[in-house]
Amino acid sequence: MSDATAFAARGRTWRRLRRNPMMTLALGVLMLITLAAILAPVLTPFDPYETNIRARLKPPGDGHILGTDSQGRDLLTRLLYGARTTLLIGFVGTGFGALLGGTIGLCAAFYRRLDSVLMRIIDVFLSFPSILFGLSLAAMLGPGLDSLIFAVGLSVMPGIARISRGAALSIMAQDYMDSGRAIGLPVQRLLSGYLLANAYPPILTYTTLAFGDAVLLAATLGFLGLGLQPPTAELGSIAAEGRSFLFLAPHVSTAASVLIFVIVLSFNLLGDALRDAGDRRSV
Amino acid sequence: MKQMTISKQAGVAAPLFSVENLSVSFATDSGPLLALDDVNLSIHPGETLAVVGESGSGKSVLSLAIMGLLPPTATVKAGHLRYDGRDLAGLDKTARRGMRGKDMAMIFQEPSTALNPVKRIGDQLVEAILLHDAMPKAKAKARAVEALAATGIPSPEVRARAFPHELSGGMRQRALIAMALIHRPRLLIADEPTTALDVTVQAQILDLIRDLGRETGTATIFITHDMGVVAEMADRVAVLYAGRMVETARASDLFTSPEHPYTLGLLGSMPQLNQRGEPMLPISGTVPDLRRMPSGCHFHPRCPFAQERCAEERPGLRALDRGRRSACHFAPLLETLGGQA
Amino acid sequence: MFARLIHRGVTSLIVLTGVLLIGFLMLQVIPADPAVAIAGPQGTQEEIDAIRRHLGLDQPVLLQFVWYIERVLSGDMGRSVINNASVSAELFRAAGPTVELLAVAMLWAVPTALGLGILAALRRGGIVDRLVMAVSVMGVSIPVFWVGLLMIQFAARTRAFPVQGRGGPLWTLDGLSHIILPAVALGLILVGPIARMTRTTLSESLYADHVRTARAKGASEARVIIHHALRTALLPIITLIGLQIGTLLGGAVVTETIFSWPGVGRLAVGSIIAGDYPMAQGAIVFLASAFILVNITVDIFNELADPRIGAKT
Repeated sequence: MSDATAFAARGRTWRRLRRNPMMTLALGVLMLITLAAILAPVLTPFDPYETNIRARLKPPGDGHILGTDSQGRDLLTRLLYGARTTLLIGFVGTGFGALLGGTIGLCAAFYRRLDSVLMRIIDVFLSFPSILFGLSLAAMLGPGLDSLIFAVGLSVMPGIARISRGAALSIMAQDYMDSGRAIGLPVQRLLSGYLLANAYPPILTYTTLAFGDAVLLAATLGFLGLGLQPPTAELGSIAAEGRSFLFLAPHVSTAASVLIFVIVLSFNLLGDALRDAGDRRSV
Repeated sequence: MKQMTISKQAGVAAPLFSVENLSVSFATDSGPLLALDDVNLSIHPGETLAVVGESGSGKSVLSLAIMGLLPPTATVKAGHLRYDGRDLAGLDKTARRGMRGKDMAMIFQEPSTALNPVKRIGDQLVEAILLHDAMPKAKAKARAVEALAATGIPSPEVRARAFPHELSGGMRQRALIAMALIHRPRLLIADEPTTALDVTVQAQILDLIRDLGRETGTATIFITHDMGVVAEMADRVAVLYAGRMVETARASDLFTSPEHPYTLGLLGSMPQLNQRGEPMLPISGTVPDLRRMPSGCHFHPRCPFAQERCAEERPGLRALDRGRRSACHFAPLLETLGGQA
Repeated sequence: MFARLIHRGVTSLIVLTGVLLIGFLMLQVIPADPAVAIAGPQGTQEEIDAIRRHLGLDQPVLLQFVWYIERVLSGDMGRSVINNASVSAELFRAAGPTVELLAVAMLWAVPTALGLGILAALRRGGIVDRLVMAVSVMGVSIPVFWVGLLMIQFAARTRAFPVQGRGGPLWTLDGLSHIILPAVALGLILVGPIARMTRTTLSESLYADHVRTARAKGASEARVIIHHALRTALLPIITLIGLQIGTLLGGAVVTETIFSWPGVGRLAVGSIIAGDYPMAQGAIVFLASAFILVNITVDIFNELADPRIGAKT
């Protein structure tokens, strides 16, 4: 595909995307949540960690839009800070996974001899239940931020490695790779300046899509108590805290769960829209 | 009047099957599309009728309509199918299904995809047998092997246990023919049965269809774009163009004196027998898009004899001598156009 | 075909060894020294050294790994540091309920998903079709624990089903009533993806050439769908179900925890949180191995269902 047609294809994809109202909605919701999470300290007058025993488990309304949790903390504040943590874990974890997966994928495409070995390993990782990564890492490193990020990274890594390999393979077939080699460019220049520079768009798209799964995994591990420990605000662990007061104050775990659901759903809708609009085979 | 012509060309016997004023349209994103427009055909027992046309002429739609296998996007807008005097429109789905495979059968174009890839050949034949004849499975198996043997498949017992991908294309088509003829249907539709095959295999398959057809007294509607195949197989020929029938005649008459300019073009495009490759089309232009059909005679933009009248007035199918019919304003061509052709 | 199966078996064996290696390393990396743990808070340095020699902890790591594999193969996975229970005995006790939960979840979810997918494919653009598409996106986005929590709230309000633990064998009323909620929650994960895949593959194969041949033979529409269209569409669906078993196993970890179901998943989570390393390691190695075994089984199943696979390679 020449650059001009690739550009035209991208333009077409974008136009088709904009016509999809679901996608616009999902994108809007995501931007809103992200913005609210980032601006949490400005948006809310409450402290997410200051407890107030007398104001425990208040229902929504009366100064607290979503009520309070079992420690008397404002639930909306907890959720905003929780979203901040959860999104951050998703972001850093996915970034780590993308780095790892991207490197593996590019290497598999560049060093053809490594290809079959690397891809065999990737296949194994790809089929493994991601929660098992979480369990193993929590067992090895102890429940906490680092095991969460590693787990998220390992779970998104194999998919990204496959996509990167595919993208890189098609770039490897282009003439400019040969000419780059012919003029004697060093390997790292070929890899980064030529291969990565041209293969990154599909990798970036897929990485964005993997974000939804990453958030879901992080929240689930948090819920199981294998992630960040209380009192840190994290959506999964807020849902878990609320579980103890499920009948007294169902709004705590429900609100956290709904927020997770909305975030993940938006990412998945976005992913479906991208898949429908773009070439089905490329994603 | 029409009935008269039919019975005249057929001598005394009534036709086994006839298509009367059939129109079929497809629902598409850009509106309905008329794939068949007022088509009439009839076929007598033991006869082979070739339906000829380029791709897009509607010949495959015609075969599916006859079998009652049109996809849900298609609707029969008008017309009747008459089998042995019975109007098929009056039959319910179950009765219609009971006829398929028993009274009328079909051989498809692509032997590689027309067989179920995950069932053994023998089992697919057994299924066909048991659908219309109740008998013990062992007996059905024996009959399936017999039927395979009749098509000249070597070691049929072994082939019956094979999966489709384990057979060659010609072998698969033989199996499909065996399946289609297993209940000795009185009407057989062969939709380009040799197009996907090697030339040497083509000849064998054509012989097989003709011989088995003759043996069972089957009337065959042979759908093809290949005039060489027509010359080999057909007693009578119907030429379709862009969903309309433009000419019908006895095969010998059609080859000696075609009465429609399109047929003339098709004959000019007939490749030398046994020479491989796509037929060359000396007809200029391409088959029109069914959504943007030209006015009047559909063929006029490509017709070397076209006059003003052709763009305005749709020519009807007119009876000529010796049972020939043509949908050209100028038929009989030789008299009207004389030296021009 | 045999060559392929053997190849697959060898690959799986390598992966299994990898899993064992990770399990083994898990115990190497953890901060707690088993010798110290066994010696107890009053243990002297000499005692610790003696235990270390006794356990072979002074030997090269590779040798220890070989011993570890030997022990695992002979069913000895160590003892819990919390209650000194044998890990393999605990796993053995927990495996039954987990298998039971997975089986019941699949038993309702797979046929439901197939049915929905078939209906959706037969009536493209209809109500069921839209429902299936919506449910499948929501199904992969909804946190499993939320489904569990909603069900517990619902069950508590209606007092229809017990929400905690296992009631006994499946064939007893108590056993059945206990498994319903966790199995429904777990199975929901499967419905969306399988229904969606069924819809896609079936709506393609409904108009495949060989399906038209079956219609031309005079087969009834039901027979055409079940024996021909669905039969060929089934292959990618089986593959998908195989792949989804991993997700299901992950979901079991969550549902078991929520519904206090005494299975391997809950055992794993509980022991990790309690810092019971041998138990945690045993449970993880067990889950991973089970997953690999299931995957091979699915592969073999696929091989048998599609005669073409053997021919391709």
